[in-house]
Amino acid sequence: MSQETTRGDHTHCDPEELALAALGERTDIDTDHLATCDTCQADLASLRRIVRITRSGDAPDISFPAPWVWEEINTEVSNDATSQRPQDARTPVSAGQQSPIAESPTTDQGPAGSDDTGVVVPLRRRSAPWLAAAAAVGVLFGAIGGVVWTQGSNTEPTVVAQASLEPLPGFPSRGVARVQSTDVGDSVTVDLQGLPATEGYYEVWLLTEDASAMVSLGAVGPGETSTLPLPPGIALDRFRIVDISAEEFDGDPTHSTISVARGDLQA
Amino acid sequence: MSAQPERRRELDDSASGRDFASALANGDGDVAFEEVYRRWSPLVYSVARRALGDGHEADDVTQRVFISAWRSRNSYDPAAGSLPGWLMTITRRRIADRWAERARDRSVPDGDPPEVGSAAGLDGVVDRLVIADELARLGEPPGQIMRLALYEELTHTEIAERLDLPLGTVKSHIRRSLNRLRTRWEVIHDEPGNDPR
Repeated sequence: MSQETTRGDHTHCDPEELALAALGERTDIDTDHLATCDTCQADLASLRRIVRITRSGDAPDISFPAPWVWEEINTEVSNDATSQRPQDARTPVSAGQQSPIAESPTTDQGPAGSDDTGVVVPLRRRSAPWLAAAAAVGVLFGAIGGVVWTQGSNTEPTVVAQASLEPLPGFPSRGVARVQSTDVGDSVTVDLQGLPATEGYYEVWLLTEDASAMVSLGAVGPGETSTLPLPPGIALDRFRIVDISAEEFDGDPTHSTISVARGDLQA
Repeated sequence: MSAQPERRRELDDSASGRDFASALANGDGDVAFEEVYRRWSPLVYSVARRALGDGHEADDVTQRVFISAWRSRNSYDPAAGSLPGWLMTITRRRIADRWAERARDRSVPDGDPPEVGSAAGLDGVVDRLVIADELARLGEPPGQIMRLALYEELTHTEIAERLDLPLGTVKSHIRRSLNRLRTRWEVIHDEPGNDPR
């Protein structure tokens, strides 16, 4: 959209020029029109407010609560749901509508559950979407920046890098991967919550940012914290994306192309 | 200020709160609540962390916020305000509770000094984190373009050169993304008429 927008008899300012003006750039904006148009002035003012807010301080980190927080909340939620649902008079539902009481809402569906949950990330045959996704993850966590987990303490082994694992669309799993350094070698501890139950297994991978190379670290199960050894000498600045894939017992050692969670290792 | 309805429609995630409200009515509130937690807990936690200067206390406040939200879920009315706006109201209250506890105990927190110590100071933190949260969701390249434009204050010409993108692409991303950030901020800033505990 590079032409000016026409509404009724008025030719309003080009929205792209308005956005640039809000950022403080010198633009070719129609100043004559702007001086007399309440709509464009209000548009510019509200965009400027956003710019002013973001520039009023540093770029703040968005970080994640520790995994126990949801566990505690979920205990309360599950108890309430169990005790209230059958006799909840405010929201009568028929028996057919009533969902079974979920002991664990996160285990209701497997990776191949309902139709809209399967995220298929083509790996080798069609690499473009995969590359885009990997790049997005890289820059997303670049934006968040810094160390995003706060649960560490001095009593733990030395954590040299960690990744906050974010769910990919359709999967409820998230968690954290920590690279730990000890006298006997390096390992990565993967703590995932919300992994759907599966008839297969989940596998942990390290990928390069452009997904041109990947290393399998081993299998993890739902609801487990797993510590897997890292190949000695692996360049973590290159293999910096931690990826969790849903795998089947099909004998195929390659990535299934179904990723459920992913994150970027930060030192 | 009210977000315009057409702007709200640009954000088809859990922001509207209608999905959550209808799930509650259908008896699926617990499942929907997990989705609410997943979507909004980083924002709640990040605000609390800035307000309290301590990750462990922020974990604790995050827990209290979502338990408060769950307990008062039936009082939430999507027509009266957005879901994240409602959650931010609860977050402010639980942070204020924590400040009051600290004042009573005269406790000195470990960790970084808090950035803010008053409700007024908290508003600025919420505003910036709401936008940071949305920025992190823009995807790429729009996210990177906007970070360069907003935080590093590069011009669109400089951004196009740095990222090797056509000028028109950069301008178009800036327009769309800045509008999206505005919409998100307005939706959340839209003070809810709901009165959570």
